[in-house]
Amino acid sequence: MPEAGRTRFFAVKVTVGQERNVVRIMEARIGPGDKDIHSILFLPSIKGYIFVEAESKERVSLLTQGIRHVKARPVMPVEMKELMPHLVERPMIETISMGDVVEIISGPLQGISGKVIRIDKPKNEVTIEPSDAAFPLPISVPADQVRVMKQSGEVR
Amino acid sequence: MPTKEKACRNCKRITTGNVCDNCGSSNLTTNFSGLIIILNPEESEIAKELGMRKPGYYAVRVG
Repeated sequence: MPEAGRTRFFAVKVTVGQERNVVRIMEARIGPGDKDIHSILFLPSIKGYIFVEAESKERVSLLTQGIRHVKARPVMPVEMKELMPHLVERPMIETISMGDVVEIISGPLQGISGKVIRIDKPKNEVTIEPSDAAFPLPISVPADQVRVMKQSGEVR
Repeated sequence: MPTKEKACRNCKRITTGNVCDNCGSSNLTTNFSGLIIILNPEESEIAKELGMRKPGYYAVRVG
């Protein structure tokens, strides 16, 4: 890791849906000699925010000044570790663990929720036991078709 | 927009051509989201973390 506290990330609030335009305008404002702005990004999972990797907060404020769709509120410093989970995509199956309560979000069994009793990583499938069934009824569904509702206490 | 932007499935770089100008792959897609503009790859922590060595546009999620 580079020396702490020098390069930081700053969140800039913008109008939802205008992130790409604002990023382009910001990029156009940066000259080839400006070495204090390292990167600009927006994440599909965080709408309405742009993140600027820069050496100072003032530099970011100056860069965003007067751009349409940028909300007039102070830029907020953000930790790199807060952004990383949004940048590196983990397959859905990696995020599910045994005992989690999940809901089926698509397919003919949509809406059923239950506890995960088996995880088949090579097949990308999870087996769940519906919570409202009167008798044990394991159902295997693709991992992409479920959403975690409650995580079990296990440390992943 | 005059030219359609495409993202490389291998290295996530966004290009307007038919081959990726970073890795030379033609495995491109228009189905991508997010945007990372790397301006200073030597200093950028994001670039180091994600292995982006060249300045330019990159997608966050490639479909």
